[in-house]
Amino acid sequence: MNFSLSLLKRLIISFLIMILAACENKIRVTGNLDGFKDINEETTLVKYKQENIPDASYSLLIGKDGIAALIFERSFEHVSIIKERSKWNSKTENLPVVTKIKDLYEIAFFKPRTKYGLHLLEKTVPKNHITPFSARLKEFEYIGKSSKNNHLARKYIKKHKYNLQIKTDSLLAISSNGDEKWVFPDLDGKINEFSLQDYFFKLGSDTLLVLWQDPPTLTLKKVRSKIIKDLKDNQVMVILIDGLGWDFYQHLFALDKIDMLGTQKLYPVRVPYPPCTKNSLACLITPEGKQIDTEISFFPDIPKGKKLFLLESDQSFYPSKHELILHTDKNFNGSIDDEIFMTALKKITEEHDLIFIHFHSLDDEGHRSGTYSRERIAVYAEILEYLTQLTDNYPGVIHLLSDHGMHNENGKGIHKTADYRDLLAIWGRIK
Amino acid sequence: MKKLTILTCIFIQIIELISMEIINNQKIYKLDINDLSNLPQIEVTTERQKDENIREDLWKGPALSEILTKYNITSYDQLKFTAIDNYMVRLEKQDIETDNPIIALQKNHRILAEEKVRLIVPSRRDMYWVMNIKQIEVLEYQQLTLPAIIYNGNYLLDGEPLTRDPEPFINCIGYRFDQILGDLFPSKTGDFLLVSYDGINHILDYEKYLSRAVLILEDDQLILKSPQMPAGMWLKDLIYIQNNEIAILITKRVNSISRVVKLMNWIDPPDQIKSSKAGELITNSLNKTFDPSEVEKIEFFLISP
Repeated sequence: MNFSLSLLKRLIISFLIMILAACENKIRVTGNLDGFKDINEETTLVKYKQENIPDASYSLLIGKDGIAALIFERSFEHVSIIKERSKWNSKTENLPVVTKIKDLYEIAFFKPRTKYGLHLLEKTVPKNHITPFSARLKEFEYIGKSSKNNHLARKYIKKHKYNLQIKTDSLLAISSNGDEKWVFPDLDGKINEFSLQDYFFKLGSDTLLVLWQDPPTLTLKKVRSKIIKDLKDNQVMVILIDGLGWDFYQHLFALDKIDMLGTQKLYPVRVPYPPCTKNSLACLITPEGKQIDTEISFFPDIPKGKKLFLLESDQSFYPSKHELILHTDKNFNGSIDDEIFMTALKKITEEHDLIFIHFHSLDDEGHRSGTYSRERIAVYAEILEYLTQLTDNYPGVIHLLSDHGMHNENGKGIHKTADYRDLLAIWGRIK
Repeated sequence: MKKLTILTCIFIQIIELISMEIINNQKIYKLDINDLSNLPQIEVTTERQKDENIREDLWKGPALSEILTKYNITSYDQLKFTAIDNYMVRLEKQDIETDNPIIALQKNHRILAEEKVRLIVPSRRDMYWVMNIKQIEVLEYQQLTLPAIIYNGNYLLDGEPLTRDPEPFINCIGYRFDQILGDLFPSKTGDFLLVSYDGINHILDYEKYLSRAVLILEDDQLILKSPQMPAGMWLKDLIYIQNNEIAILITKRVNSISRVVKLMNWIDPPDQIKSSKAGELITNSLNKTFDPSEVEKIEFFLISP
């Protein structure tokens, strides 16, 4: 008797689970998103786009049976997402019939820019940028297209699960938390623990942003070692040009505007993610490397007996036990670099072991007018004049370096992303 | 053993040279010189300018229409001809019906070597005359229609770094082709329409022809070169790229959308377009010609049917 009751209970529970499973409460929303945004109430595609993903230009409506329809943004207003008999469907009168997806399971949205794309890099150049949407679309096979009332819909059918196929032995993987680790694709080119999630790529438990084949071996930590080594027997000047990326240097080279740096041997430097001054400085000024969450200061490991001048703008990212000299834009010309340069000229005549000069205007101008703007190239030319005078007058060793690169979005320069242009800085011992 | 391998390779190459295939939907027809010789032969005369001289040639071979009839190919929009070296041209059905192209087996009464057997389209420049054809693909393909959005290619390239000697080309500066595409397209796959200033266009598969292409910058013009295509297919003065609803226009060369409409023969274009500058949408007449200083700040044009 007890046995029968237990069996009955189990049957009832199983039945309830089946009913619950049949009643989908939500539609998965995937693709090029900046966060998690499932659909759990009836809506229209255009309303959902306006409220959640205003930049979306395509959507892929995916049914549970693997049939999908790709439509462009101007068709969104004709699609309603409705729930009928506990199932979600897309409903439309004006669009081709392939847009009517029964038992709608997922909607993937495409927008041109996404935070969570996967950058495939090789040495100092990009090989591919895979967005979560393009990866999702690769899971489908194109069947054909149809049109109605000037609206076009493309029909797809799901074929397989997305996976990478990488033809190399090893890659450096960089995650959104800044962690770096080497991964080793198997003989089929697949990477263990790699998967496409709703709006990002996952490696183990991390959000994967970069897979880098043969990345530059030089890092800011190694640059730091070179500076410390030179400091043992020499006076050293470190000139940090904020935002001077490896690709901007190559761009100037292509335009024949590289000038004096064209005669110098400069190298690409890989900076930590996210590429920003605070993060990179932490690698450069402390022996521990990336430590931005803890209290750090400029060159804590260089003994007090050594004389250091640190020339910064009107504020410093980190404190220092050494002489930290801040500057303001005294002549109101919109740049503090000229004031920093004047101080540097004065300080190099004083007794010291290391002078650290941080020029900011190239980064500032990039944010203002764009990474490759004429204005930014003019700022570079100004900084070169400072460099020429400093190298002519300095008796010691000079290290030239930068903290990160920059790329354009909406006409303005930005960094802090996993774009290769942000991740590659420069270094060279120019004297 | 080594000799046998070499001989096998040569044999395979010879086989490749003398046989071509016609792909129509799922069906593949193989045909060789004998098949072509057994069809009714016609003669066409062509005139070409070569080194400031007019060169006249008499060609003889089966009409393309005869070949299509033999294989019962009547319903199609385009034929795509691909040569052994991946050189590729497309002919519209209308062109085939009016121009009466032939597959020439003879030139000026001399039999052509098998690898010189050539598509002759009398009314077209000889860059369309594919030699050493390996494949004729029958396509029921509509020309790309009006795009929904046209991005300003120069605005896009202003935000991209130039490279000296972009691989594998030397003594030049330019961009990788994928730099201009950026992340604007949902997927970099399938056919891309590319149009030059003088109206020459190619529809090219991205993976096969364009994934390693570069845009060489010369006198403010972009030259599309790719190690994946023979030099004869490189496009001088590229002005327009389109994949599905999204297009890119080189506005330094063409600063009016109505010019694009004429160039592309779009039917029923809208009277007005919207241009986006610094996030603001401005309505303009389709016929508006933008000043160079004005157009360089425009991010994209919205085209509504």
